[in-house]
Amino acid sequence: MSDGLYGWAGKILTVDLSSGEIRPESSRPYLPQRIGAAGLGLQLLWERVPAGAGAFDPENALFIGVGPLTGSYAPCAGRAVAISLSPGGFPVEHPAQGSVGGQWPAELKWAGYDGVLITGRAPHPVWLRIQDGVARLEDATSLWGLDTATSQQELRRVVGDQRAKTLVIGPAGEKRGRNAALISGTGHALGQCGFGGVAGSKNLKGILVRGTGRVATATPLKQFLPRLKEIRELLALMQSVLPADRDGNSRWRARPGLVWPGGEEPVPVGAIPADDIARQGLRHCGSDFYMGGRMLPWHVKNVGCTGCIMNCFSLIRGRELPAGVPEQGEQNCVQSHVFDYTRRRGGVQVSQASRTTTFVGKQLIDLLGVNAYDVKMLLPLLVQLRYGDDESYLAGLDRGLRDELLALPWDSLDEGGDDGLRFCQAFFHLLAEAEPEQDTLGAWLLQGTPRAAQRFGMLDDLWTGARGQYTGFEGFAVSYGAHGQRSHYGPERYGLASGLHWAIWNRDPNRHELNGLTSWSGLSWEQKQRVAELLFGDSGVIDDPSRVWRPQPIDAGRVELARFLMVRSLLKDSLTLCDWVFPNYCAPVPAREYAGDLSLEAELYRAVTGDQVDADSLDLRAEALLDLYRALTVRSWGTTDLCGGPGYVGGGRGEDRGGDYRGHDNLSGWHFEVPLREGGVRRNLERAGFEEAKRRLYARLGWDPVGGGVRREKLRQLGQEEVADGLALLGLLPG
Amino acid sequence: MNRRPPDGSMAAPRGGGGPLVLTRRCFLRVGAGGLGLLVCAPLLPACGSEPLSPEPEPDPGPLEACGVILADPRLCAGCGRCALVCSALHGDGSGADHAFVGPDRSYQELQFSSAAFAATTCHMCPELLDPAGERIPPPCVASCPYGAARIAELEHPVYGSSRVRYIDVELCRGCGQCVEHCPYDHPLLRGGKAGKCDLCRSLDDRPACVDACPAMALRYLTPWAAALPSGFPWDVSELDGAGGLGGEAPEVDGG
Repeated sequence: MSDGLYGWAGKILTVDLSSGEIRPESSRPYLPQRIGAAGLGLQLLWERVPAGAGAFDPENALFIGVGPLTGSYAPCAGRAVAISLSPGGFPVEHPAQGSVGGQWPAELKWAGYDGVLITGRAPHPVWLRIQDGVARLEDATSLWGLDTATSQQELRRVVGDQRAKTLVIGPAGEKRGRNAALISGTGHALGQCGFGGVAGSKNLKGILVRGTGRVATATPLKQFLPRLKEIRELLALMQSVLPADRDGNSRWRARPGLVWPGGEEPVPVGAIPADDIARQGLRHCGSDFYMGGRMLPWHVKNVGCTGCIMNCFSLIRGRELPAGVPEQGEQNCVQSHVFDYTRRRGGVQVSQASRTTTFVGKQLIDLLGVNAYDVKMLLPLLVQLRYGDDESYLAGLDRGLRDELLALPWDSLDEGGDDGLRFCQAFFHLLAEAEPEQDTLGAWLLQGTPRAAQRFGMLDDLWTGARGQYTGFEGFAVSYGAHGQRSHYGPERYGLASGLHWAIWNRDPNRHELNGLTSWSGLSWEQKQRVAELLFGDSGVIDDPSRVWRPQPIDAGRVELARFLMVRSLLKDSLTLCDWVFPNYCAPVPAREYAGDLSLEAELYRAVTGDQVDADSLDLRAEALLDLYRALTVRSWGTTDLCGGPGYVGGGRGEDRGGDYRGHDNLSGWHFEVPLREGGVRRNLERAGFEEAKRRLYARLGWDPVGGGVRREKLRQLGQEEVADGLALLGLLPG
Repeated sequence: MNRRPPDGSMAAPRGGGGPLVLTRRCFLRVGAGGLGLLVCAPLLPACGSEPLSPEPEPDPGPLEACGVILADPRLCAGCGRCALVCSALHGDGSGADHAFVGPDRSYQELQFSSAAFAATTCHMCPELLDPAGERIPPPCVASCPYGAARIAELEHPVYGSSRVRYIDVELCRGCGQCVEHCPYDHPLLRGGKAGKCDLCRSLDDRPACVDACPAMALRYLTPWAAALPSGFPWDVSELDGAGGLGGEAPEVDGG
């Protein structure tokens, strides 16, 4: 922000909680090559976390950073990205990234920092206070045990500044939950990968930031304003470029008659023309989109992160909630319908989660500070444990756990119950009361789905999709993806390129925007193919979600698309930009045949930083980050063979079904074939083709063609041979 | 934290002649469930509806700004694009603390309790008459010892005469009197100078925050006197695509 630096703050705050030492460092040695946020975090993890460290070790580092665009006039750049060893990684605690929006990230930039690097473990609970470049640790002993809402309000009260922004853990993080989140405000979560547990293991309750600085830009806004308006015209949330009254799948919900009824007075929204950017932030309405619009009556308005133009979050005001549950909160996507089920008996619906139950579930998730994605998998896991496989899981469960399970108010979910409200509260009570490392239901649930499933003797079936799932509850279906994460927009929806991304990535890759093109855009399949042709020169690279398991050609286009997804994922997380909006695959502009502009990231980057690189060159910097990410993964796994080396860890009842499923670069078994109860298998993705595609992707990236480890030649080519030296010292460089 | 306007009622003339009482209760920021800005109907003459006479001048009476930027808490998403754009256009980069508009200063706290957060804007306070018939300029103008806070009669390429209340940075010595006297905590002191919303008069353009808002939560409405009582809140579903881009007069009904 000074000395000719545009976009970046130029400093990183390093905090050693063990010694209490706080030191601002220059971030310039890493710029512009490491771009920001994710790139800085990967670099610092490489430099400062020793090989062999575990996620909860004091040696692990938690980096939370922002990018050059954060807090600038670039649209939808209000996010922060965290990089750390993930305790949720399964079976290995490997490096992963998470992100959070709201107002905290831009405030960090305005406080003068590109990121905060936290290492060590404080001798007692602390919180970090950052105000305009000045940081200090404060005692958090009295805050330990408080929920995330009370904690945040208390931090603001202590500093006496209601404009301060807060990011805190709740009880789940304090208990070192592998699925614990950090929460900002009333619904923004640094949710995935268990970084809340990492903060808890460091005795860090939260980080308050207040910044009165600003982000200088190389291109003054007055000069860029006309172009900014054009860019805004191209952007669409989740690529939804046609309204829902044209296609029900579109997330563009504004249409004739749509009203937000949840506030003091109803707000008529109505239809919004595509060229009306003055109202583009009113197009979406999550409360109308999810659960068939069940939450709409409580929808007050849309809300957004700093600098957003899409405003995907819903501000919900609940009515007549149980005591102790805040009536107001923000929500979006999975957190808004974690607790959603329909109970059927003999094909007849007898109970359904009420609006109250679903919202109470969301509020309790955030108050406890737990990852909604994992809870979305844990709840069905409990249902399977109780009823699944003809109650044989239950029969095999140790007595203490079985008694706890049976003591849950299952009648609450059933006919004549209370639409799940008591069950919902009892579930979160289990988590809230859990003591770490005890052999109790709650403690195992806080270990995250795969480890809980392992303890319950369900992991093999989670992995293979085998045995008859109990289907009495729609909405409560176990769906495991890979690497410890719930299945979410993977190859089961979006085909081969998405499957490759899932296999390589250390977490749910969360590529919303390509999914947006193929699922939520509102376009016809022919129009989507035309967009793919205009963007990638090949209409065949995207896969039709409705026919996704059909045999897919292993062509260069799909491999190239997989590379593009991974590179742009790290670019987005480094700049930082919202992945519900970028890359811009689709635009609501018929004259462009709805094709967007994939060079917008680079254009915004140039305007803000003045660093004159084209999109391809910026992608190469992001590809170098991908190589670094890969090197870190090799280091965590302790093998150069990420393809065929050790991988899946079984956890069934003495049965080893893991034989075909080896290595890091893999998907859980059901992606390929599902053993059927009546014998035989159902085939999904073709295994041989998938392996061949993986080898081609390794070759495209210059990785080892057999094990997929990153090679010296490639590291040298993109200017990071010191990473090769580091791997060689550990004996982890492919020959 | 809000400081109040001076106590007591102040009478202002109205077009038809009868006195209008504008009390401090009429100028309220309200909390939960209310509007971001409420003004009782002053029914002042519409800006420009009675052209100012040439010399010799009869006193034109108190003048209100030509228009005002209003924020609708029913629509404000708290994204702060208005603040990013305002600060970048009026200064040296984007930052909420350098903007003359932006989500309520306790926005994150309000999320826990109230949906009524909205961008805060300059109210472009009108001139008033005291009981003796003397004109009282807006608090920022009246309080400035250096004549830096002033009312511009400059022609604006979009609005004509905006009569915007603004601060001439050349004259400002950063004494903070305008900040002290503003009922709405609006002006900012940064780098030894005060600044406030100037409706982007310095940019020769319509207010950029209004264009920046993606939720039509900000609008520039004219004339000032009519905008407040009848122009707010507006029905977003009734507006066409250009509706949010400022400058149009709302319908004024009744006298």
